Amino acid sequence: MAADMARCVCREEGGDVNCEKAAESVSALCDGERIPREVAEHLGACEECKARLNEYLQMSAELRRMAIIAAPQRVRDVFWGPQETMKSSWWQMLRESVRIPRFAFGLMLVAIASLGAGIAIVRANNSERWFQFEVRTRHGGTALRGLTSAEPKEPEPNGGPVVTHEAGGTLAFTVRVLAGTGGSEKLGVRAIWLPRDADQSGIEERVPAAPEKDFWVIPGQKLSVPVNDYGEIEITGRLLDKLPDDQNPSEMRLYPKEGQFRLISPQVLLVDGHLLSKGGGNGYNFTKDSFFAYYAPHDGWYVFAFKAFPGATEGKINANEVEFTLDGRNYTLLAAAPIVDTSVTRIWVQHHAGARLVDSQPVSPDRDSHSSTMFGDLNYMLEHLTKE
Amino acid sequence: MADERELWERICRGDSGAFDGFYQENFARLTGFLRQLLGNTQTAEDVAQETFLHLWHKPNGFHPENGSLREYLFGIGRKRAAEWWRQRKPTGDEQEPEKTGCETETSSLVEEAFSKLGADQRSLLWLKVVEGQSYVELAEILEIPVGTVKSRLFAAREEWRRIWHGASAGKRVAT
Repeated sequence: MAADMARCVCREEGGDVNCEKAAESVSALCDGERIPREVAEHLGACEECKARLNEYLQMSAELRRMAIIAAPQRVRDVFWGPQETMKSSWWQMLRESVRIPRFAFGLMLVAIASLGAGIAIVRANNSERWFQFEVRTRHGGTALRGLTSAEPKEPEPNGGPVVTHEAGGTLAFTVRVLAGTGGSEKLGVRAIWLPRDADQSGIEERVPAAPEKDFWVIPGQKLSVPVNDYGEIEITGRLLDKLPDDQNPSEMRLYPKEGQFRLISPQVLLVDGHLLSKGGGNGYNFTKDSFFAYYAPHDGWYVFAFKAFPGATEGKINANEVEFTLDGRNYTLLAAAPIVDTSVTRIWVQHHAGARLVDSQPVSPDRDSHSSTMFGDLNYMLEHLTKE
Repeated sequence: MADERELWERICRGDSGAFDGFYQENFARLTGFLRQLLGNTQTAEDVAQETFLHLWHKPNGFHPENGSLREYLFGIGRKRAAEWWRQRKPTGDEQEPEKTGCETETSSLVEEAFSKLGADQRSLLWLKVVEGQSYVELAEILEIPVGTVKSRLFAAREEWRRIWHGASAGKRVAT
């Protein structure tokens, strides 16, 4: 180790932090610990230390992948055995070791939206520094909480617009980071307002067609973005030198916290053992009153919730595996990491044919070239479920 | 913490339902941790079973004010694993953890390098990275100062990285 450190000779201006002194803090940073300011400054300027950090993160991600692969599945046998077996099973341990199917699980996170009443389709990307932002409506309600790269190498493509409904109409917008300087972020915002009596269709085409306005937002300060005929939406954000807990690969637990679910891509949907669809996205939310949905191209949406809802069929969930039966066919949805903690064993699912789940949902022209995922409030979704 | 105390009190009263729930939530996690200490799944499962049995028969060793029940469980598991090594007749090198397969050459090398770490370093990294234990929790489980947790994690990562780089260099030379 000493020999390795000896190669690091860079020094920070105005300070005496060198790679050797910074190295332990780099390890602590991976653990989600606070590090001294001068070390953070050194880290920002030192390629050697950045490389060490990246490798530590890669190693951590690999270890979690190994954990997922090797996780014993006996718990499933305990959960899903007959009731009599369940009651006495803890000392009657079985020997079989069925492994969780393997998927790549690397440094992949994440554009994650945690939503209240809204619905969003989310996509994954990569970054080292992060811009965490929140978009509020004119009434102060949270329309979107997002997390995206603070230093995109190229402007991120827009996902579908975020759509929120108010008493007077519908607000739809997209936000993307165009550039970052380290001290401020240049955002591109497209937003439209459709009053209640206006034609609500075609949002997916109208939002991208709206002019994109550029704004510089300084972390910690409020940015007001005018929207025609609506008023203003407000964007606030902050820069992060690491992903927040639970969204940070180095902090990610094997199982989500109790009361939360997490969907990590890729997902695979099997029907009677045959591949129906693969791909998907990342997201998380609370299990209570929320849903997630997986879109299989040419087949439609599979809506999942952790409580019964009208028209839904009960299935079983065990770590990263959901099993259910619809119309006599056996389905399995597999995710790259456990979706819920081991105390959750029941899940409800409903199939909804067609590309649109709710009336206001944008549908992209290339919808059937890839799968996607959706997250949101269950009651809201049920109220606005499309009749198509 | 109140829930922890209640759970522990129920276990002390011999409530097998409470223990069953605790077992279901923690068996896989404990086994994963012990596999790093012991080198293979079979032994890890045996020791995990002994650990749970120990807790079931002697739950009074837990003191809620000192940490969580899970920390206590992992602490017992660690001691049981050490005991297993002591009782085992020396047969040479420590077993390497079973391989889990790999997706890419890089992941294979990282995994292989991890398997070459000492059991203490593997188990420490496992508890931190996979189980997400805090420094304080690790200090409780391993019975070492918090500052030592930090320095040991760093040393473990550096050793892992060093082995990985060595393996990578060897691979390049070989090809």
